[in-house]
Amino acid sequence: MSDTTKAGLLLRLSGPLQSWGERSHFNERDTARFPTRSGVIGLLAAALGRRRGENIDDLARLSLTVRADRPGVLLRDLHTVGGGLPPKATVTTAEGKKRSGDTTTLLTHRTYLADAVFTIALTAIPDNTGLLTRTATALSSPQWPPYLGRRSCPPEGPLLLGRFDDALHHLVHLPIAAPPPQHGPHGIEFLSDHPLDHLPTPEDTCPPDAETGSHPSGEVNDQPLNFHPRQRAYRARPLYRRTLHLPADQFTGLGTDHLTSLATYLHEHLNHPEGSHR
Amino acid sequence: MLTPARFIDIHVLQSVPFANLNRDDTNSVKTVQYGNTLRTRVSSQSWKRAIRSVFEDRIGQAALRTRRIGERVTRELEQRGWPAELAQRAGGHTAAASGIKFELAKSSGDAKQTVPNKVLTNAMVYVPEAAVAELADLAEQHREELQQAKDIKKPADKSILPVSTVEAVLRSRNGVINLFGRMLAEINDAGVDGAVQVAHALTTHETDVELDYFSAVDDVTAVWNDATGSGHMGHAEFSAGTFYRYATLDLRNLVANIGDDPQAARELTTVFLASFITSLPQAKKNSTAPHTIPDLVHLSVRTDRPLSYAAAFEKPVQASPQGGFADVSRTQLAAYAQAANTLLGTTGILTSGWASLETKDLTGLGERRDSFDDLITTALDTALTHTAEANA
Repeated sequence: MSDTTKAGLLLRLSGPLQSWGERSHFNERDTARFPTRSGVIGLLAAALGRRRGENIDDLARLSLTVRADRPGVLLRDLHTVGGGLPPKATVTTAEGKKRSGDTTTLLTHRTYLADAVFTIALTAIPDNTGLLTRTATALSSPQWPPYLGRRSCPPEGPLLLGRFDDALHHLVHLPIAAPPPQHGPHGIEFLSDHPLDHLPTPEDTCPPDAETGSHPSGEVNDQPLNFHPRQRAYRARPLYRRTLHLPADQFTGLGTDHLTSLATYLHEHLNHPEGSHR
Repeated sequence: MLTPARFIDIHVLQSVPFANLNRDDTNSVKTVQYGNTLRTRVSSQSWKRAIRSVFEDRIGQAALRTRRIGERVTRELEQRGWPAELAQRAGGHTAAASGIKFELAKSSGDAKQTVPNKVLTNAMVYVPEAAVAELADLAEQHREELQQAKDIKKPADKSILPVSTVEAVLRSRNGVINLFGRMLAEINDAGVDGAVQVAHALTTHETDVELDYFSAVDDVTAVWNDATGSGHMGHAEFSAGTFYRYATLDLRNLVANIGDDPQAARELTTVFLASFITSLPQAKKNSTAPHTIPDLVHLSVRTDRPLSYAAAFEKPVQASPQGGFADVSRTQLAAYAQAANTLLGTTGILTSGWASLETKDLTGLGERRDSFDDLITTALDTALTHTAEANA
């Protein structure tokens, strides 16, 4: 099996809201512009029924490649706690002090990614078929309800698209959950923890002079080491980016229209999407 | 141990007139972009609080979220006939034994003066209301020692009550906590993962936020008619629309939280679903009275995974030729459900049904029921019969 034909799972991360915290701290909960490795691995661990603090080393070895079907927009949401109470009756701040003012409602800001859809490939290096099978089964019938980075963000529609012998090929070819571009070619961004110059790209999809994703464009601090609530730890990993101009007919619209195209594609390329137990 | 049917998904379509159920820090209507159009949004936190308050009323159970647990114990002991001074000392010792760092309340007259025994825990505890009586019982068992003990006067003072027993009471749960969960970081193993997951509600269609300009008449000026102009001018934001609301209840998680008690599982689930259907955040209710009921409720019991139908409205609903979003939203929801069933198969659906003001048939949403109660009962019968079979 060559480097470009890795077995893997394809997942669809779609919902009105998602939130992939990157540097969240106390009252400011941020989100990255794309699903983080820690977020996705947490999603898999929860589906498998692993409690916080349980070993995730096997999952952390899976490689993640993201296709941003619709990158979405940032939404900043205000959330209050302890409204209308005098300072001494409300919660203590992180510094152990009380807030000043007559009524110290605690304000927290949470940033979400609205209107985003991502298709992701999880590939095993070296191909670990047992892990892929267990994970696929768990995603079709998860231990705990899945969510897109935050509990109030359930995924809509199919989460697991299926298991493919050539996951990256299908990551490039699957219907895109967005309306066809109105004005000329529209770049679809791919993000990965591995170089993207080997991405199986169809002809005419690589914009001239575009980066091929052979070198990292930066680093992200999202490689999870431990999810234990008191010992959460992450380390940095490289981030590779590449943009492809995919054909207009691959953009299959929103909602029911997209779901129907997805069903047709999966029916042609794989006879068993999530749910239909072969 | 019970092995129930896993997930109960509830989908609601509800039209809400000119209102602002959930505001941000500038009093604006909360919104979200979806399918490249702007929708009105009500955050999950806001709607969840509305659900919890209806739930607590109906189930006749309350949970107490407070820093003043010691004072509650004091009052309970006073009602049991304890002398005030001893009751205050007992309350202080109870809170000081919680294992949570604390401070003493300041005197209302002099902010520099602390009040002995009036202990405020630095974190809020979240306990069943019944915990107050249990803590008072504990104080009764230790009454003699409390009579000999010193007052709690500073945060370093130690309680004479057993920390492990008090912590055990603070770890106790009731239906509310078993269902909605609890975060209590300072006491080991007091955290409970909630069994319900609630999504943000959003309109099925594009909404325009309306800026409502208003002025307030000065009554004296109006009577004397000696000046023009109003006493006050301002503006407020509102919007109207048909919301899609979704939540899922993890039966296995609930049963793990409450232990092997099928009757309790049934009661909590029934009341949660009924509360989800009838609750409405109360913001600006006196200005808009937006007290509507759902137009359609769709329930499904699934053995595989929860499934949100939010994408049914990713392409925004267009008002029907006669106007109105409810009718078109129902049709679009049913069409999406049908497509999802085709893609994923229906083997994961144990039962599904709907109840609505609509009388037309809606393929894709299962069997039609006459009332919301009927819908809940039938779904639960299946979910819990399945439980019995799985156990047999």
